[in-house]
Amino acid sequence: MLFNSALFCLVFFPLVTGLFFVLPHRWRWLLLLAASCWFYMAFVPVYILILAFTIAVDYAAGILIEESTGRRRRSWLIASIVANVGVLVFFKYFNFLNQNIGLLMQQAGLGWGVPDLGIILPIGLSFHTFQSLSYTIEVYRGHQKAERRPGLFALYVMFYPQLVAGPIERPANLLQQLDRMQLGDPRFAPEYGRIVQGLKQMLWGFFKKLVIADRCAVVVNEVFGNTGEHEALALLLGSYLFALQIYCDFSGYTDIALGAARVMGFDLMVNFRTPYRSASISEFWSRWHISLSSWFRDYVYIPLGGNRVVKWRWYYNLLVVFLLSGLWHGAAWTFVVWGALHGGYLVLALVFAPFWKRFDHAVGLDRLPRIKRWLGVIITFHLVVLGWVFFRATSLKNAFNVLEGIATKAWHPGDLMHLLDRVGHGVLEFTVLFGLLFLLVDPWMDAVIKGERPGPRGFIAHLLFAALAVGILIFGWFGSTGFIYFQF
Amino acid sequence: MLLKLTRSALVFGITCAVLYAVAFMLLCRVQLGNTLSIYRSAPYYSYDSGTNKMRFHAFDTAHRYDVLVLGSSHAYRGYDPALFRARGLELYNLGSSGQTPLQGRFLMEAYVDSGSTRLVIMDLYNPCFMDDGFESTSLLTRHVPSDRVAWNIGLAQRDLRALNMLMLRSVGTVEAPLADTAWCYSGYCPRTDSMQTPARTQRPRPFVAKSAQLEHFRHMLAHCREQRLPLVLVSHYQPSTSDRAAHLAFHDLVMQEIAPYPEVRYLDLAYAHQANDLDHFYDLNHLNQAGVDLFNAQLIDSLSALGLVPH
Repeated sequence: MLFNSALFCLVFFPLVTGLFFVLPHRWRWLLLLAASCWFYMAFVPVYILILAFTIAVDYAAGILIEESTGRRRRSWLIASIVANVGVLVFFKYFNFLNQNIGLLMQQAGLGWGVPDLGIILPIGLSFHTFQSLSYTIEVYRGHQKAERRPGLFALYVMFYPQLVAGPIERPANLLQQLDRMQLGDPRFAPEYGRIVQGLKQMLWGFFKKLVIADRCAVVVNEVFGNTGEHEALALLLGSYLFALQIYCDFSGYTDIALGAARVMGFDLMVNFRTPYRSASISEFWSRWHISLSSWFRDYVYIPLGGNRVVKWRWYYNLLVVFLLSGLWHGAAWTFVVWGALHGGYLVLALVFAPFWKRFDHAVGLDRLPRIKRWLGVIITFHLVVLGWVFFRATSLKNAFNVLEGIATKAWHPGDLMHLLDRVGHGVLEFTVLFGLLFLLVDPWMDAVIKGERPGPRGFIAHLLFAALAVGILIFGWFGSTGFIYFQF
Repeated sequence: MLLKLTRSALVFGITCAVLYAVAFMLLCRVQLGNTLSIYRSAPYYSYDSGTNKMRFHAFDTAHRYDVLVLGSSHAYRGYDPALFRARGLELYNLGSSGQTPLQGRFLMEAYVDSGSTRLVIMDLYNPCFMDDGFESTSLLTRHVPSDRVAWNIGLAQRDLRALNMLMLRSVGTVEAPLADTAWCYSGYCPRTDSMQTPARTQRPRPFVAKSAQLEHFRHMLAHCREQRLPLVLVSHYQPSTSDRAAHLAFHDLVMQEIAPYPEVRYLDLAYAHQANDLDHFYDLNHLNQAGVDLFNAQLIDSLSALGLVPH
């Protein structure tokens, strides 16, 4: 079920939330589990079986890990990882691997007759697989007790607000909250301030998705779909707008998820902290998709040795993590290049750190920290945009066409007229206008929504959020697509 | 808590309504370039066609028309009142761009008079069951003179954008041009040009009818039976490059839907014709005047064979 569908907004959310508050606390897990099944089965019903398999395996693995010691304990963890990763590889990477092996065989003059699987990728597979894996790993490490109630464990993996696109929760946060809900913690009782705050966060998420992201998508699809027809300025604008689109799409989804959970009393992980205000790539990764980057940090990077190893090994660890992160996003070379680029940025930043320090000193930037920071923000943003070109492109050729076009084609504002003709006058102007306004307002709004700074109160607050609702109604792009991260 | 929440929701709702009205009126008055900003805010406001407005304004509700035609652009480009007049029948074409059963249902209820209309022709082809009908709703909510029809169509669309269309109807100030070069007479807008180069064969598309469109279609069938209106469903000529498989699936569905209504006839002329793609069509699937001459002659003969029009 899509958050931006009438079914969710008018039926599912009010019904589930209303029933949640009405039901006695000991029955709430059942309601949420049934609602989560309904939510997931609205996509491809039969794929609920994959989730059931993951849940069954990890539920059993958790208990077996807890009850065993030594090598046996480790074997159960490995079994859980193999089962989870196996499902992921089968559904997500089989065709990619098969096609590439086929190409290699062809190069070597050998035949390869294995056909691709004609399957649709289950929605949110990478998200709930990672969430479930984090549970077994935490049990193995002794940080988490094995959950003996299968219903509650299933709800931990399937909790509908974050089921299909995160945040990728940890048992220490979500499972503990589910446990407290079962015990009748009063924080899960209806409370005015929290409900209103949750609804405001949802509204902000809908605004980001429907007014900014889906508008940007019109221009981005045109530019990336017809790279040969557009000149440098249009290609550059399309790349910038994709940066805005993916941020508003994904953080919009996250805000709706966090808001929906908050209304019921759950606090999910913060996933974004105005990432485009990062002054370095490492800062960017502490502000973008935080639940994924911290997952890779805790379960891949640190076990590999993190930065407590010799330098070359440290760089290797970073590259491995980001290549895996790229592959996590999708089974395509474009994602591998995207991951490699980010890994490469981080390694290069480390290698050249002494040089930059001397450079800052020589030009006096170390005495102008604000200017230095803004320069860092601009440079980081452009490096991220370069990565986004690969992330958005349909193929490596498509990505190189965009980059080659920006670098070699003519630069004059008249080129935008062609883009205007293609997407419709008004669409582009309003998209750019809303995009710029959004970038100005986002840091303040983000802090207000998260309750990190006081927002307007009383009628002014009503006016502000009514303006968002009216903005959605008048300028919203309805009847469009799902969220970009659903495909992962 | 509940009282406080209800009070807040009420204040929020009223603030939204006032802001919405103010914002809409501003957008309908402030120009960006040479265009009102409302038309630049989203593309669905810009479906504009003078012929669609003229067609419904020129329709005389007090006049007695023998034959009324409903349908999409294939209707207003494909049924020539002059050819029917030659057979002693007065035809008015109520087709409009992208019209689907969702709109046809309310147009039929408003404009077809069981006392005077001798025959209702509904032009059908597969996309009219597959589309959500938004293009036509956008046009008709602006152009039909009757508020009741406009609101019925807008609300039936079940889309927030339709609310904006109805708002635009209520506060909009700029009229679509009444004169249009394509306008001819009695709702008919012929084209005389031809396709210059052969079209590529259309890629087959699975035919999946929208349940809402089927629901409105069933309402139309029931309305005709209730009002004793003779209804003939017609599928216009299709060029050889069109998606024949989708049409066959569509044909089967129509036959299945009208099975309980033996009084309703379905004349499927999509591929039962001698027209050729280059001479009788002006684009991928619209007939030009030469094609209409062939199509209408065959149609009138078929109707008279069925006893629905005089010999």
